[in-house]
Amino acid sequence: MRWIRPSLAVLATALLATSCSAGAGSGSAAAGPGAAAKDASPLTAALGTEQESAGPAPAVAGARPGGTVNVYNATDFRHLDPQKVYAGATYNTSLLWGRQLTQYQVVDGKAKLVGDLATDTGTSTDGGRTWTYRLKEGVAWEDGLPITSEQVKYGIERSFGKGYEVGPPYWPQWLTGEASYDDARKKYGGPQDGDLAAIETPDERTVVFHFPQPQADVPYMAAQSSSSPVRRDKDTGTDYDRQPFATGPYRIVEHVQNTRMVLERNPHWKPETDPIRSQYPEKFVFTFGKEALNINQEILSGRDGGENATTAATVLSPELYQTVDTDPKAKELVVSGRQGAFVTYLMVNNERVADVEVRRALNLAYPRQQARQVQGGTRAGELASTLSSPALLDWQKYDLDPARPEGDPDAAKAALAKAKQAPGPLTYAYANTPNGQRVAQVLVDGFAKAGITVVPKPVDPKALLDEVHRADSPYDLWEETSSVDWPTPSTLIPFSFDGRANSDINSARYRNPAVDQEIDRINQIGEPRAKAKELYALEQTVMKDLPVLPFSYPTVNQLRGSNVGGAFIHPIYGTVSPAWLYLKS
Amino acid sequence: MAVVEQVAAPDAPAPPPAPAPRSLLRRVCRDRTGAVALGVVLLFLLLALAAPLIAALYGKNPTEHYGQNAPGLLSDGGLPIAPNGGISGEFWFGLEPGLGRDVFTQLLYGIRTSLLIAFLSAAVTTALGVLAGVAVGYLGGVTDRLFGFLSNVLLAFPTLLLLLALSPVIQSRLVDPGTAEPEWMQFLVLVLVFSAFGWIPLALSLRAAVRSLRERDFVQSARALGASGFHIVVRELLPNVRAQLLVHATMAVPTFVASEAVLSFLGVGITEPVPDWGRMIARGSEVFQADPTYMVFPGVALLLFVLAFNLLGDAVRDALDPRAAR
Amino acid sequence: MLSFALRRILQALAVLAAVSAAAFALFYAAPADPARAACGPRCDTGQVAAVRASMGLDQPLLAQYTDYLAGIVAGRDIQDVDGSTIHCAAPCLGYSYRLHQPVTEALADHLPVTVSLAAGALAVLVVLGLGTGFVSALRHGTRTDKLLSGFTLVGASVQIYFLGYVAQWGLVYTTGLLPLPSYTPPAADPAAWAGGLLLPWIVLGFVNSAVFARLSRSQLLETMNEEYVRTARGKGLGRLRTHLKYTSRGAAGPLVQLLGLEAGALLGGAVITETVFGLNGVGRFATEAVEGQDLPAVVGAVLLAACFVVLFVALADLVVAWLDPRIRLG
Repeated sequence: MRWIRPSLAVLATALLATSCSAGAGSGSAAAGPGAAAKDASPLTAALGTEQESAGPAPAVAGARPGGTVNVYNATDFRHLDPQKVYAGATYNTSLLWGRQLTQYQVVDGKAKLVGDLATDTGTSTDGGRTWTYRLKEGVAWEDGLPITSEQVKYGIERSFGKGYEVGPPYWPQWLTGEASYDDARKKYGGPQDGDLAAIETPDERTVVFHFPQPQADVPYMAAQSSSSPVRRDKDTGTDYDRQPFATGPYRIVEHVQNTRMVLERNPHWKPETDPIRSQYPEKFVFTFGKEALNINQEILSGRDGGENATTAATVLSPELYQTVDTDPKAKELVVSGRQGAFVTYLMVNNERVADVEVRRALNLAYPRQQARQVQGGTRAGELASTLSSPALLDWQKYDLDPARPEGDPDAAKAALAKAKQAPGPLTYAYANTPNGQRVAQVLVDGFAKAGITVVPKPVDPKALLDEVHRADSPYDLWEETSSVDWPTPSTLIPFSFDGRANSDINSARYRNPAVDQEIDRINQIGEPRAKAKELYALEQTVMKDLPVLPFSYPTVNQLRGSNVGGAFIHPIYGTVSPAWLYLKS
Repeated sequence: MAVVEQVAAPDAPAPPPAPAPRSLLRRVCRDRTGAVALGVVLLFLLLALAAPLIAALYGKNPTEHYGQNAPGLLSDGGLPIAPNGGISGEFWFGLEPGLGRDVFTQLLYGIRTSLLIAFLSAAVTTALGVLAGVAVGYLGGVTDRLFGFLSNVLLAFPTLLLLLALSPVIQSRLVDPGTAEPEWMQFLVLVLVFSAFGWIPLALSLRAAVRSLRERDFVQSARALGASGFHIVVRELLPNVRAQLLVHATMAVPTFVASEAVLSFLGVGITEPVPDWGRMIARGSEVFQADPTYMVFPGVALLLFVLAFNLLGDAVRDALDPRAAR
Repeated sequence: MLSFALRRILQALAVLAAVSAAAFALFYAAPADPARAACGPRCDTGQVAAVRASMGLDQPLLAQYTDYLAGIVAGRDIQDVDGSTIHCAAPCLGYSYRLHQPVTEALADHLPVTVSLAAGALAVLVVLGLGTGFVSALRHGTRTDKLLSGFTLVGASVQIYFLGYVAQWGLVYTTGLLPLPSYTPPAADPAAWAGGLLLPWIVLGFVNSAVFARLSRSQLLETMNEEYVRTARGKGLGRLRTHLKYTSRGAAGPLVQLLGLEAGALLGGAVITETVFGLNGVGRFATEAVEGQDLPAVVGAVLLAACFVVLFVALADLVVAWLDPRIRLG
């Protein structure tokens, strides 16, 4: 299953608190938009060894300790409780205080999965049904007590509990062997149901997972925030969501919701145990609640602390693209990169638009370039032709239905002539934001040229996904930006295009029994690269039916102050990562 | 109706009865400012009425995406390539960043949006205010006390917040999810929310006026002659508060224009593709650094428009009540 | 005076009770399912039911309201989505399921920004409004009067979001004359506090001063013509001294009332100003609550704003009554 949110990334005020993101490969600050597609680096090759999992982290060139980094975010993080976090920006920021079993080490914009609290990325036996992790020596909480295997287990047990459905569903599904998250939680409902037998802790430092079915993606799941340890005596319930207990290089000393958060160095964090993070600045001070425009202006102007500031979630307003591109000094402050493994699609309800020729006509008439232009142009992202993101393992570009970027009304009309019957007016649901309204105007205008009437329907942004995912949803078209959970294709086709899944997961309502059969066959493959290869072949089978129309691989543009060093867009989490930052002077 | 951040002045004491319309016009025009204000207001009205004609002569319409359809007008990022927001002989006020629509016709048609909502709201609130104010003032007693309490309650509400919170709710209640919202529905929603609170100030000032009129000789004598309550209200009281009505209505229009723009600015007003000044300013504030020209036109137009109406309201008040002009 | 004050306070309390009832009914009755909105899209039906019970939505509206009032007086316990119980201390304005925080606490976090903004803006408003009103009245009929009247009318007509942006770009971003608009707690750094709020104060104060200026001008003119002022002038007191001594006091009543209304309205959160200048006060909190369909937070913010209006209007009435004994009888 992939977790999805509407295209927030392209809103002026958007924060990237959207979804778990994933992706490998480049997207470094230097590459810039558009350049990244060519060098998708295979991530499995980058599974780190035990030596690579040992600390300390590779030194950041030119970094120096000391100082206070200001982080301006338009809104506060929705969750900080590690088992509730399910958003790229929060994953990324929580690296400052939270550690997981595994984590991505990033050097020169390239990610490599290594052991974090664990000594390596995990060893599997029993055909992938048993996975064993061993905790490093010397890893400790912010009060100096050692981190134990039982605390890792307790953390994962929490993710079954009530109130934790906001997090990813994979641990409950995999550990119980249930395909449905709700069924999984009926088997075990969290720590109040007692001990979870599927996780063994034979000693203080060993965690053993037992899965009913083979699982190939456990090392990636072990890097998710859900795989963070939690201490029973520090588990303050709802309050833990505001101020979790730290294991990383910093600890949260103050957090006033929606207002500010202060991090100080954690004296019990030992660099020699950590292959990922550094501890350069003295403090991090987060300020929430400023408007995106003001955040960007403060950092660009470099006044009143702006030179020491960056943002961990708020993107550069598209309206400022031209300003920064024409001013070399401002351009230097822009940090760009691909937004993890996110892809934006024009979604089609295949139950309502059942004729593939109509969908083909839509694809041909789709004014992609104009739609991107109102969102800031090439800086906003690269036009897409595939379901999967170039950030995925072994990804290859393909384009089964080449269409002109500005739309081709005549070709669309020709395709429409082949349809069994001409489509009636199609309803396009969109998030009622200024940007959403503009994109809607572009689509209405563009499709009208091909003789397709599109009726725009504004929907409350918060309710859009509920509205379009509802089983009896009355909408034909809508835009959706989503990502796989980690940089393999395992959570794309097998979830979102499985005809047996409900409309909440298979929101395109794509039904193809042949594809379903293939999914079942491929799921039995234990070797990640072989599995990926099969999944890419299956993706092309799916795309022959054009269930959805790919729009773009979005780019993230964020700002950092002139005195802030070490800023890059994290290739997996798709935002500036505070854990690598330092102040130049 | 006042937007929270701009509190309306408490109403002045009741002015004397209104003179005949023609002499009022003459009095307004005697004041130079009043004459200019009236001229500007009439100009805006004329522009609104003649918008399709002007657009046809000018050869553009407010909905076509000129900048997107023709190359060379907008940059890759959607900003006008020509300086000053793309002002040229062809596009007099430039192009809208992003969609590339014509700013001049957008502004022109925007007047219609503003005026339609403002006039409708002013009409509804004036009617409601007259009804409530005269009835309460005439009846007095318990009704009066109840009304006083009710208006205190309503005035304590933060209007802007309520409008923000209620507009989407009302909208979702009135429109089926499957159908697109017709334009008139958006107008209706705004008129409804404005009317819900806008009638109170007028009702309050009318109540006071009627209360004092009720005790005057001519009303007392009418009553002594056996006139019905209805007759007294319509024949004796209403003509005497006409001046107040006129002033209120003139002052209400700019307030509603401004309120509508505020809601659109905050994103809960009129949606695309209906041209709207508030939304234009909101867009202008986003692109201000790269394309300051775009915000100047709707900003200045709105300022002029509201200012002219306010000046006219002043002039009308002065014409009706020479004391206030001192 | 005492009985007048008591009557006025009772009246204010009654208004507040009615406001809370209206806000409550309006918001809890309006959307289809406040519990689902509060719980979030992925809550299962059991959790939605739990939230519904916790919000008291399964009870009749009246019982919900009395519970809410009881919470304001004595505090109450509320169950969060994950089943944990949170004590919401008095005055409890409900619990935000979006923030997982009692609404009162959240409002208290944002209030200092709004209070700072309102206080400064009021100061600007009074200085500017009284100043122009005073000068206009003294020189009424002259060119200065006309000029000042025009100036205030522009203030009344200009949109704060237009002026705010233009001023911000002109005075802050391009020229750097003023510091970036921001909020620093005054206790931490008073200079930064004042510097960061200077532009918002000026803009908000100027826009609101128009009404005040016009009222003070007409009030002064009216009292200037009254008997006792003329007498004082006849006795040979200078023009300015006469003004300060007699006129001002007589003219103060309506001005104080207007000021009370302005103060109450501003303290309830200046939504647009906070948006334009990126200040994180009660107004922005409220708009975010509206966007997030966070009903308890919206109702809390509405109530807080109403409280301020009622409180300051009552306060103004008391001040006026103290200034002018005739009013107490009325």
